Amino acid sequence: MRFVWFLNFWGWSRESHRAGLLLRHPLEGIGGNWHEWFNSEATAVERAEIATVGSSEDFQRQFWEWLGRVWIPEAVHNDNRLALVFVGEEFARVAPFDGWTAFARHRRPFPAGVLAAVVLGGESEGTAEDVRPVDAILLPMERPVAGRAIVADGFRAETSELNGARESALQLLRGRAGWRLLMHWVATGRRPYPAWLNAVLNGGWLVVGALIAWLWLGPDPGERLRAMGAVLLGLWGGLVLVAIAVTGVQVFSARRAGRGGAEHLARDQIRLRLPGRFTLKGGSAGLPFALGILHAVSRAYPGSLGQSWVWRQFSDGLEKTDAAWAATGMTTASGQVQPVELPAKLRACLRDGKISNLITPVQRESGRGAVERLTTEMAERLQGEQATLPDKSDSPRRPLRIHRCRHVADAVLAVARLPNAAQIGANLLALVLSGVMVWALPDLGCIVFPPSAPVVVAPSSPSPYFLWVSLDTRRPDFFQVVLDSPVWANRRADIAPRKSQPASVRAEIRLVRLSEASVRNLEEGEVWIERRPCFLTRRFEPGEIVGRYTMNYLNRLRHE
Amino acid sequence: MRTEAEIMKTEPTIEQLLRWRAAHAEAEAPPAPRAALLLELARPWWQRCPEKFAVLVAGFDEIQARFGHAMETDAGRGGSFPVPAVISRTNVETSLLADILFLHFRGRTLRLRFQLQPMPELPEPNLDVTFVATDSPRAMFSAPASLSPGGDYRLEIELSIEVAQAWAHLRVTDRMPFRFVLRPADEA
Repeated sequence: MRFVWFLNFWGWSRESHRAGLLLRHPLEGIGGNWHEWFNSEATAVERAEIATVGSSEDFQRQFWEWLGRVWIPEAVHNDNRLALVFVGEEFARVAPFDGWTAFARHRRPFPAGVLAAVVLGGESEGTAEDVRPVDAILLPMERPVAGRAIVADGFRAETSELNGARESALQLLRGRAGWRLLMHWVATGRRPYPAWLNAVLNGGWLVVGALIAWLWLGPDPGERLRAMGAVLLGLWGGLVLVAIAVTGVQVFSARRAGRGGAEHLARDQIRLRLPGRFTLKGGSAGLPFALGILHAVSRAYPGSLGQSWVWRQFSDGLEKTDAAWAATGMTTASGQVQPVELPAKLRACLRDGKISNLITPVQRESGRGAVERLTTEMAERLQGEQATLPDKSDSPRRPLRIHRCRHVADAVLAVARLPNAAQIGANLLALVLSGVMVWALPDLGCIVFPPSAPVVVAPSSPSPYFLWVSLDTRRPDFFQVVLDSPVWANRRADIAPRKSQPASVRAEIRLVRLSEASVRNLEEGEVWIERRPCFLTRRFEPGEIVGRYTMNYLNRLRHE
Repeated sequence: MRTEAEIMKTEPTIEQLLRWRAAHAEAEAPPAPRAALLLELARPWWQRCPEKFAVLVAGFDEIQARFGHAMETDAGRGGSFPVPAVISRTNVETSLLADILFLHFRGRTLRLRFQLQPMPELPEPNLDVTFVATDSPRAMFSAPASLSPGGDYRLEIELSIEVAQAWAHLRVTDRMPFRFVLRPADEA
């Protein structure tokens, strides 16, 4: 066993921690612990073995691979992928690893972050140095350590100021803020469909709209009414089912992934890093810290947040090489983003030139007009400066896009590039059409599944001047009554619930005698009952005759 | 004017040169310190400058006022009781706390690592650490500490038998029986 000396060191760390000789978790202080062990505890044999490994780059690389493959899984008892990164960075600072080639890549002064915080230094009015990359690491702990759940690594900050970022990240993963994020996505966010499916679904909604318009306002479809109704109902039902299923599955998986991520976040230690030794005052880095923490969760545990398409979009959005993100804003524990001193920070981003997206609170200074004025002013000033100073930047300056957010959830959506104008339009169309469909659903149901033919029942009219046709139907509006008589004027009458006593669902036809009719039989004539489909406010032409009764029969029914 | 041949004749030997250098060194050397001065220099700094020591010890009261809550509750500091510390630089005294990260006895030898909270923006590479008793303004001993790559300070010192026995059972999570007066090594 070539690396038994490392196991001896790790065993010493764990035992010392258990015995109360070491304050911090062995992993948290691994660099310092190694320094102590190597200088005071390691035996001559162990030192010789370490020297042997250090003598060859191959051995060094084997040691590094062994750390990741064998030691880390046993040491941290979970699949945290940042633990090894942290160990590498800690070891790269102490002897003898600081001279090993295999650790050279961990020896960088500060890891390149994908997100920057705009933290003004001293009396700065906004310089490129104020744009500082944020790096967050989750360190697996066996149990939560009170007061050490979040620590500033390298800079100084009040723990209470950092805790706000942690709480808002937790809220977003498992609390009400998470629901806000998902509801915003449902309302405005693009969907995980391929482009062709998106086009098909949008086309489907347009067809639904066209069918509704035809049935409501277009020419009478006649015989094709039922088929059209069936197509409309089926298409709309299918689209709604797809929409509900897709959003439901995504919401469910995002919540489940969020809860998984929150469990890690609640247990692990968050180490926030900003370049430079300074004291952080004010909470304007709360928003970038919260976003950095969320990104750290997805980097440390790709199996948790990575399960969710929505959360994957957030990580991918940050890691895209064509977008450089910066953020500023105070966050409350519930995730609300509060205003900060903005103009100097805007100037810092404009001077930096590499930031292409800045997330800000919603405040007057982040409005389009204010930003454009500042951009113009800065462009003029920079032109003046560049005329006198050599341009040190090796990449072209990027236009700065401002994303105004009221909540951390809005910032996550912005980074994930989920808000989509076409999807908002499609959602609005679907919402309006679904509203109309819900309104028309009873009518459409009767068109596709016609109600059974009604039977004439009592009461009949107590007055000789009226003919009552009472029907036992729940859809009286879907039928009409026609009087066809050589004695009385032919009439069509709607059927409706009548509340006048005796109450019934009936058609009331006022009897008007024809002048040329003979008087030999006043009960000569028939009453037909016809189907008359309707759709919203429209009534179609009468259709199938479903009943035929003589006036004689109708008048013989009892009056009550 | 002397000729080149004359110069060559006067070339000194190595022995003569050494004698000449020793004579010059004796003439330029400062006078040997007196025994009283040597005794004075051998005394620890808190005995040489009792007024300054008293001022620094008074700084602990300020720490109690500023960090009293953090010192009394262990919940906010990862389960430990921080040690009050005063850094004494030229004309400037800064009050802060020190987390004891590692404490180990091997016989009478104490090995200690501590981290200053908040960490100074420009930490001193070497400090002279004076241990001051908590129950009285009494300096116990001092030891040099060096900054390690992780940002914490490390010291090693052999204690008297009495102190070693009294502290042998200390754990990093215990309330420490000492306070720190820290002085940059180059000013000590």
